[in-house]
Amino acid sequence: MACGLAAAVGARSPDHAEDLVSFERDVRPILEDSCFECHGPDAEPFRGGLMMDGLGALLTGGDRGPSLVLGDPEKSLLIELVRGEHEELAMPPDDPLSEVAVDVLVRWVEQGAEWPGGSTVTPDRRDVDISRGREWWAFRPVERPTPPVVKDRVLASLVCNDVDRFVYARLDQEGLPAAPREEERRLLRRLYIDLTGVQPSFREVQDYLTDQRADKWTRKIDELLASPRYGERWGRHWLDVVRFAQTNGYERDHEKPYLWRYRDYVIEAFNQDMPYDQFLQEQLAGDELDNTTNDSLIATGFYHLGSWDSEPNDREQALFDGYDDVLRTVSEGLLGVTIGCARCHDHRTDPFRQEDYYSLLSFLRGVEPYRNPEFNLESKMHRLLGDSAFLRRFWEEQRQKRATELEQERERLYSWLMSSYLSTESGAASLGSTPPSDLSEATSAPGREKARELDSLMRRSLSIEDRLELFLIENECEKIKTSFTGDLNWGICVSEVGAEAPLTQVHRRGITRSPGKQVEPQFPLVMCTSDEAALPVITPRGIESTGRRLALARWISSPTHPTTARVFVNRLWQGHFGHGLVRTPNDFGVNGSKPSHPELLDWLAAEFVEGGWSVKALHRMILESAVYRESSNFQDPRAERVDPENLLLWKHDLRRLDAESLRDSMLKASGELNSKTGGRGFFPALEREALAGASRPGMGWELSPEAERNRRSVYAFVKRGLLVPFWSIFDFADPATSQGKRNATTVVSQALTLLNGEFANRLAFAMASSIRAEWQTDREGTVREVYRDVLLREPTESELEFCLDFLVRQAASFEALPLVLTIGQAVPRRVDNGYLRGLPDKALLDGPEEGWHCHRGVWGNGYNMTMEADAERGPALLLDTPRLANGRVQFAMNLSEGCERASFLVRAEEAGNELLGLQIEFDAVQQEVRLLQLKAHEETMILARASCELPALVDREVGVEFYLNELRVWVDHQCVIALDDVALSEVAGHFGVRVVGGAVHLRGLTLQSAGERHDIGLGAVVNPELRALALLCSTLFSLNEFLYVE
Amino acid sequence: MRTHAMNQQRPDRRAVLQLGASLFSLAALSASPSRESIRVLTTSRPARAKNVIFLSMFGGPSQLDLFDFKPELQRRSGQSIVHERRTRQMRESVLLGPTHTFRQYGETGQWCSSAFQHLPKHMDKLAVVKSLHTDSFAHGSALLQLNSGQIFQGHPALGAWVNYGLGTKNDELPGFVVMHDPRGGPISGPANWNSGYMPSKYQGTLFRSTGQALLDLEPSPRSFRYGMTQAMQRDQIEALVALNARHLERRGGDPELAARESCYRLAHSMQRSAREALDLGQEDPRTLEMYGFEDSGADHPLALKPAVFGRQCIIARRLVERGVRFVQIYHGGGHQQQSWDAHQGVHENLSIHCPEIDRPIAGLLTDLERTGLLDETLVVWGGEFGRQPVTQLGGDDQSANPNGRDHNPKALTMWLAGAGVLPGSYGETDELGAEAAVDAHHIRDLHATILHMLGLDHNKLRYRHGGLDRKLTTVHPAGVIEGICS
Repeated sequence: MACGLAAAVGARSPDHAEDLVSFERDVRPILEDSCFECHGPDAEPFRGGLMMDGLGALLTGGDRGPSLVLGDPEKSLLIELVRGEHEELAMPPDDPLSEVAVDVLVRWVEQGAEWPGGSTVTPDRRDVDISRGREWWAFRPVERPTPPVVKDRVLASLVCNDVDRFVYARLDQEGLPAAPREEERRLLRRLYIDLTGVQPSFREVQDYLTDQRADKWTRKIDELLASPRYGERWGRHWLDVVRFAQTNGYERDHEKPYLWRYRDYVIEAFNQDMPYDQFLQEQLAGDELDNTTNDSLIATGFYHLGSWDSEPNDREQALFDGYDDVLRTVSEGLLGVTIGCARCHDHRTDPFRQEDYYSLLSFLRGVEPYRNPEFNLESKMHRLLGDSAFLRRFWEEQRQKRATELEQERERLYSWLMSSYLSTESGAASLGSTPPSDLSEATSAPGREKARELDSLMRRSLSIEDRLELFLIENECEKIKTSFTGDLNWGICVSEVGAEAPLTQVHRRGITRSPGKQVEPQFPLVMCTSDEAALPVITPRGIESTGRRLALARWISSPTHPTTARVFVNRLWQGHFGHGLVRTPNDFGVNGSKPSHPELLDWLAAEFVEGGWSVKALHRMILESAVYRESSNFQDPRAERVDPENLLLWKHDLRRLDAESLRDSMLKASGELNSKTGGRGFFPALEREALAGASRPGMGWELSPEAERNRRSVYAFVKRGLLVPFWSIFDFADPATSQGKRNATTVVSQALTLLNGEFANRLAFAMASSIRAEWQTDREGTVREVYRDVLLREPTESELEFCLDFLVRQAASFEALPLVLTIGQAVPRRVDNGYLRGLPDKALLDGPEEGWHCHRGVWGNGYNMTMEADAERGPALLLDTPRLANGRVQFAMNLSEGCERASFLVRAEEAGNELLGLQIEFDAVQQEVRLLQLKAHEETMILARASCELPALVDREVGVEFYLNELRVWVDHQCVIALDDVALSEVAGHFGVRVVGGAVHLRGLTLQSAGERHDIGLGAVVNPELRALALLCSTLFSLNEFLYVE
Repeated sequence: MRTHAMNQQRPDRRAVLQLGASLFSLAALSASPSRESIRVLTTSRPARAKNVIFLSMFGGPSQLDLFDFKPELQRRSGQSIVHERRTRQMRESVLLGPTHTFRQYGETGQWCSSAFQHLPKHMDKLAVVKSLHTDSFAHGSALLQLNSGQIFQGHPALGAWVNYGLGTKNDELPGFVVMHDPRGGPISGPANWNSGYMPSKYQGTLFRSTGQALLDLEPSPRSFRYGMTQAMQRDQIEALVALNARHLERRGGDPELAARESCYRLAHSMQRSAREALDLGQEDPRTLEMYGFEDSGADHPLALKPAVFGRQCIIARRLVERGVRFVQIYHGGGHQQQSWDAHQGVHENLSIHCPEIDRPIAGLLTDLERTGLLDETLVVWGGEFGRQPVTQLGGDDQSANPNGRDHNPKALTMWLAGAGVLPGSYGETDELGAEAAVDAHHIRDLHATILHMLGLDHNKLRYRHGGLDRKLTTVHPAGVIEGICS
């Protein structure tokens, strides 16, 4: 078995006499590294007549006689040669073995030269019979079968087109019935989901149902195929196949900038019904075509869709791992075979030799591996689109301008730093205050020199933010020399090393450092009608590329290719039925499934090719069939028994919505769907828990505005290292490898995310808020509206009654809940600096929005670009009004489970990222309450502390009274802190709340001053009817009727 | 169709086939019956381990300063040698002797350094394997390999394999639980506990040791649901079931639809069971103390109190008690000295991190033994690679720390305890501790051993994907480390 690949296997050094040598672990790597090039199975002819393919061969030996004597290293020629004991001949000739390796061989011979697996060196070779292989069903040429005649009268009467003839003739053969046509409403939903990935609106359903035209089904198909939503749906299917993601994966997982253009290209290609052969040619060789366009260049981003380790353990090996990744995607995704298995040895079951793998790889061998992006006019990989003399000039001007700006900014910072440093002994400079405008003295040349000299010293005295600021500017200054994007369009495209590709050699066991026989580009023999047909015609494309990929593209997209069309029509079938005619869409080999309807598959493939590879025509053919319209709700005991898996399509299978259709249909039902297309994509909100698992929480992530977050799922940013939980819980395809088919699991986490997740809750509430019917006057209308929007139908009488009861009951329960103001930490305590900078203040804390505002607070640490909220001075929620100088605050409070600390501020004043004032801290870890005075740029002072029991979720009545220099804190009517000498002038300030590690719940918050009393309300969220209605919406989103396509 | 082969003697194993009855994971099987091949599994002798607690020390702890005592290295400390620092990069380097003193403990006479005070009392329970090696010098790929056997992304983690092989024992809790350090997760984050090409039900679930244990177990304060009582939530679930009934009836009681419905009830009960697992109120205060809850820990700005890891350890025990198969706790989070990645000084690094885990792990072992759980719980400790016998000096980096050690995949020490592990020192590195030398084993062998102790044969536990029957131990030869199995 092989694949995966391939550790750098080096010689171990067992220096213990008793240690048993293992052939696989210790000996084989030495032989592979040092001997097989000349004496291995691929070496022709074997040097010195010695072929080291097994123990037998060694015992027989070559021209010089037996190579070894069992148990006696001293008499073994092999050992003498590797020890260099013969003057005229030493082995290996140029690169003697290490002592350790020699020692291994010595002990191996001593211990009896065990060579497992019998006498042959390797099971890597097997007798691959190509001509027999060509007889395998998938490799035979596609021949267009004649649609059979359906004899059974009932079945025959159902036939709508040729597709049906194949399916029903087969059912007829087996004596099975076919399900009747699905109910019209459900059928329409099925069509919408299949073609657009979004369910219809109630109005669209009604219009369809009342449409009297005989051809309304065909019209609807055409309408949906013409909709831009179609490309978004089917483009996504393709993105699974090519393992699309927008980041590199691995440790750093950086973005591949502009790769989203590839995604947009795919969507557009489907929308335009680009012929599939052209679609493939552009992706594989869009740069080598005669008429290269921006789009065809963008398409070649195909080569850079995979994972890329920016810090590989072994660069050489990583290069070929990269080729392997692309080759597997081409092989499984386009050709439907698992030729990747032949990387290390002949394919175990399918007729692919290891050579075939490397011959195929050599078509890609000229491709430059991905690298960290540099945007400049020379780069062909990160490439200027629409390149022209004008753009080049524009780019250069812009770059000069920006470089000058940056340079000035840096000099300004240096000079100012310098002057600050020189003026203060401690060097406590801060960029927070404005740099002086007159820099004449400091910008003098010696001043700058000095600045650089003192650089590291000064840096240490800077605040973390300032150090970062400086770091970023310096970085950009450096980077702009080689990379600058400006306001121009760039893409990620394929590029080659030149007109000649480096050699391709077979790698023994897939190990790069063990090269063997040289190979040339050749199509896999078994997929060609003859050996001659496997030889490509290759014309180099100028000086830039070899032309090899174009030859490959033309072969794959040729009308006579045995699998290309079969594989694609099978994917199309799967997209409409849940399963393909071949149920293993990425594997048409021996280990895959065989087609349930081979003639139908071939007929569709033939139609597809003859119809000019039009994908939309293929959809029409399938969708207009009676088979597609079969009911999913059909029971037949005999059919269940004979064909429980429904291979013969006697009914339609019930299918769970995939992650995207589910999410997008929820958006549509709630009226929140934003149909904006294209671009880099949006970042879904990630809950604190989901972010915290990364080593730098939030790195490479952002938070998009809400309207953006309501866009279709296909436009969500795909980050390999941080798949959005909602997606992966609903079986989003892992973009590590080509995914032919998604799982459809049923797990508890799906229930949890639909019940409690941010997305589902936000939408349910938005939907409830947008219901037009008035709850007070038209309760029935309210329920009807929810039913129409989500389930696309009217509720039955009993459902209506049930839901009304539910609403009344839940509204009453919500009403009875204590009015609680909840303020909670919304981001992890430690978070990546870049992510933090991009967050709006209000995203830092959960809590009321109206009448309050969020203060960013102090973030420190900065260790490895990760910022940490200061426990005492972190983010705070401040009440806008009233602002009190003297007065009394009262509330009941409890801390959530896991909450470490809740702090309350009075007389709080904002000063930069600091808050000045008084802070009463309830600390659940220390079980105490403290009074702090917060001062600018000074140590915070603890004025008083008292022990205070604070179990989670247990209410404490809190009162804080502050008048002139006096301050009192009561907890449960006990005065715990009383100070008469608070040395802070009694300025008016905000009331504020801070919280660490969880949430704090407040009830009955009132502020009193000079006889005025302010009850602080809780905003719109607390309307109990609205909450109950939102709960109904969320319940309907969880119903099977919504989650499944019937 | 799936093919099952199973060992009839092992009741646990039968649970695999009863996955169908297990609601946590049921419908996945019924939903995609065609090619999810489960080929089970079995070793020749009965297994004792039923659960695993994997204490993952992210960053790569220095074996040379903790368990792998090298007098020769001590003697030659300060001398220069030419040494492979990264793959095929030979450099003039300076040897750095052990930064802590060593002594032998217990009947097994195993070495442990003064970095640990409490753990040494348990040396007679540990099988310390000093001769492991892995493939990668880089954290990202080394972590992936520690977890999935491969240096590439997209392969299922050990915890996923275990759950795939043995099935779940408690539907109300996830079978593969991951806790991470509050300083941050390991490099590559969730990629380390994902299920790769297997269904997502096998992937690790992040579990927090305080507050809300699981993602979306409770609504966020921003949600309209926040504050709903248990009764109200139950009412919603019942409403959901009632409203589903018509659909279910029309469709003739489809088992997948029924399973989905059960998920909602389970989701509801999970709130209780998760909260209960976190509730340490039921623990004796002396137990908490045993886990280091009262200790002050190291005086260092990057150090955490032992109670943090202690809490995770005790929760691990509670989860295992409740039938969670695989609990993985990452210790060390973020980067550099926040983790065990001691480039900046190995002495400092150990003085930050050893006190954080010392009492908690000692407490865990005592506690597991006391409750009898140690018989069926395999405890594994280790990081993604070991560290170099030389300092960081000797490259282009002028600021390289003379007290730091770089990564070393060629010598890795890990220890195992419980569930049939044979205590004692196993394997040796060369005299400088640079490379596994005697009884050397690739990390794949450790994976094979862990599976073996759970009664799973690494050669038979397979999952079909991409044309291959995939194995945790990959296509390379692997074998059980017999010398540590009793």
